[in-house]
Amino acid sequence: MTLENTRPWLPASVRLTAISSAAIERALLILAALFVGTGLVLLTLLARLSLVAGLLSFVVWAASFAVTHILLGRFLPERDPLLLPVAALLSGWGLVEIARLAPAFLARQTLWLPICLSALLAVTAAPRDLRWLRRYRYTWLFGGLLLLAATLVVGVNPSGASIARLWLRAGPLSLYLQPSEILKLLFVAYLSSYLAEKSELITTVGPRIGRFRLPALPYLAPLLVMWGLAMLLLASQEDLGAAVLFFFTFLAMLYIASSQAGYVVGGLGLFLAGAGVAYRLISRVALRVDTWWNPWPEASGRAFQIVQSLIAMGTGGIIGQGLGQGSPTVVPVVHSDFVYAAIGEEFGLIGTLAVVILFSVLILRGFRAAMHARAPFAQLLGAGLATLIGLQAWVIMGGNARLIPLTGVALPFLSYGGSSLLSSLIAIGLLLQVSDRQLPGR
Amino acid sequence: MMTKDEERRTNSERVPASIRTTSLLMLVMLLALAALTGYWQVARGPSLTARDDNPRNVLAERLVPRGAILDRNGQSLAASQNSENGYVRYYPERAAEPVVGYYSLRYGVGGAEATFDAELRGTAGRTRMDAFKDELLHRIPPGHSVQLTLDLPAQQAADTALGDHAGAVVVLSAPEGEVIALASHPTFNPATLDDDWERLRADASSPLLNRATQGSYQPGAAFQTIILAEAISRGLAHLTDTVPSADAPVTVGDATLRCAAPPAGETLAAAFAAGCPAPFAMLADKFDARGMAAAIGRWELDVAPDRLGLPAHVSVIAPETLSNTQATRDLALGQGALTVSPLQMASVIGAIVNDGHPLGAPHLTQGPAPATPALPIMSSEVAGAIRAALPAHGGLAGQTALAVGGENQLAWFIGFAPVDSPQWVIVVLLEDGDGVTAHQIAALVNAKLMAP
Repeated sequence: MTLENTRPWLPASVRLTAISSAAIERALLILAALFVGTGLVLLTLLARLSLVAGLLSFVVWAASFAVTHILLGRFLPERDPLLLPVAALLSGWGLVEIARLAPAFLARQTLWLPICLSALLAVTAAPRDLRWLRRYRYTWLFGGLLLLAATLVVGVNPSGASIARLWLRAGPLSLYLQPSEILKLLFVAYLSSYLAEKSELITTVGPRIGRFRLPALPYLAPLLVMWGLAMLLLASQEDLGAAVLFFFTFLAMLYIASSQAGYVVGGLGLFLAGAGVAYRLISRVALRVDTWWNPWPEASGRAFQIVQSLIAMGTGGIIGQGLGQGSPTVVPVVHSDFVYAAIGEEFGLIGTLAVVILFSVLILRGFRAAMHARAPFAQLLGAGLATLIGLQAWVIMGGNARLIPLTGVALPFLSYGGSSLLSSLIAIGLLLQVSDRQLPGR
Repeated sequence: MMTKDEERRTNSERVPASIRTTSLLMLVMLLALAALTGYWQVARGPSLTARDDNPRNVLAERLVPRGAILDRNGQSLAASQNSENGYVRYYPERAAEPVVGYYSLRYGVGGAEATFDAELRGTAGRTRMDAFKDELLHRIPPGHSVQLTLDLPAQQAADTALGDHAGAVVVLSAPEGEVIALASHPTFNPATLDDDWERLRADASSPLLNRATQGSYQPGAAFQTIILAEAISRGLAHLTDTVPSADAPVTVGDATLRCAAPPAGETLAAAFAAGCPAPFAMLADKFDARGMAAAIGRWELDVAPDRLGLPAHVSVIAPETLSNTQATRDLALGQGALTVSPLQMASVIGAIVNDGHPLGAPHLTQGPAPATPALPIMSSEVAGAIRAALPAHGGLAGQTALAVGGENQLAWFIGFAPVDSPQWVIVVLLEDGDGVTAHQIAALVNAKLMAP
């Protein structure tokens, strides 16, 4: 039975799959627009947001995603129809949250949207074999490392502080770029390329020591290098979150490429050993772990943030206080580190579950695209990016909910921050590439 | 032995399996996050929001248009006024503190502010549906005013008359039991409570204690009313009995008990009127332990004044403390194991005023009285006889009595006014004073009550 026979009302010339896929994406984008529009209207009615600011940010958001949707029809006609709407809904919700929690930053975040979506489109417009990324992996990686190194020399902190100068000033619009966000993507691309190329070594065995067989050198060497890098990050930046993110993304990709669970067990052991040393030597790491393990005795001191985060979540209950009706701003730096708790207070358990489900959908579609891709590089890239987004979201949401120690990584799409939005949307662009069924090598 | 091509194929087939495992693991991680989020938001929600360090409670309190507390004539004792920081509580009358209490964003509520919190907040009397709707729509119900039975001029008079003395004044209406005045010194200023809290708590003179209701004092000679009523009822004594050397001092432990005033004759009535202990020490020997316990039990000193709504002292009468004659005698002299609050003594004299029936339970607001009629404590003849035995001066009748409390001499006045048709019972307690001062304070309060 042909498609034309099952749907006789459709012109014979159109391909049903392409039509329905684009239609699904369009319908979901309209639903997302309804949610974001309602949120901004509510904030305007509550006089938390000026009419002009609300209207302007909605128009920029809606127009950016509409243009992206239309151009993607040309670049990637057989892409996954869920990836873009979920990214649109999450980043739109992010705008609503910034309008709610830190209205002064709304203009800057809105300005970032078209820039980030341009980058997404540039990635999707590039040749579909991804050779540009695969072949020049060292060029890209060292480019990223150079940017990071540049922060050591000309780095600034947008808040004007003289510590944690992790940003580069980009252009006259006083937008700040955090190279480490971009480096995460380049790092996943580099690993995908490296592991795809060395995949024939999967069955080669390493040296034996007594009864134990060590991993093959091509895996052992980068494992140790990565562990060293993660520990260096911990020590130099005292950035527990970034270290966890880099290291566990790496472990996941190593496992995906090799199917050897032993690497995960070994890596986990190495990480715990390193974290144990860091706990003893670095006061900030000790603080984060202590206040996670038992925050209650220090609720007014060191554990103030986490306890206030939990109180905010408890205040939300099941249905939440309603957007603009709670007091999430009593949690310090709520707009960057505690957006999940803020959503918990005002949208309730329904809201937090919606966020968790949206991220689940996003990473499952990413993994699905990876599984359907044939080329090892595309498989690893898709799975690596899905892992990166999923882990980053889990690490910060888990920190808010006291599942794991609190770290300062951004919640993708939802937290305030242009660099984070940029890397998240470029990742979506790459996942769209991987998901497209016309990708060569399928 | 596999060829290189075969190896490569195996590998690329193996990759999706490890991707599936990774995605499953990530789903499990997200599921754990969802479960823990549900735990905080639903299971732990109430306990988290109730924490003292939840700033929302204070922020929400500032939005509550709390009702006013009024005296029986509509005079404002506490009111909320809107300011740029939300509603602020004002206390126009410092004299009313022991009854009105306090309302603090940091330390909660006390006194009538606590007793009538739901009414003042406007949450009392809502249906469950209305309460749910208010909660859902963030509507703050307007507070209701609460009108007390307190009479501000009488309260001010009691407060002024007490002056610098540590002690309490209680005025109840007879026979209803409405609280007309309730003064306690030293006290506090509810307007500056947040700043004073630590000092007030550390203060050895316990300014936060409401002495009128919570005070626990030796009744001393003020206990004679109870002993006398019981002895007359049982025919163990008559007011006309002659008691030689009634003004003889009596020692109880280290303490020496004396008359509050020189007795005006040699009868039991004269000894009672002057609060002399000696005749009552002899009278105590006519009671056995069970009889004494039954006598005291009839006055319900061990029953909490539930209608009042303020924290109050409840006397503990343990039967084993009456095991020997010495303990029974000490008790009859008001220096035993039993202690009372000024409010309880107001109820004792109230039964004398009310022809032997107990006074209505003390209460702060008008409302339906309990339906069950209380049993009489004594016959109206006995009550009338005791009433007649109490000395009257200037429209005020009552007994002045002394007790020993630790290092101090406690002075009581328990009485009523007007003499012919009693409308009020008046009790004064001074923690360190003499009978004359206690009587003077009662007279000052009575003068205000009698004023048109």
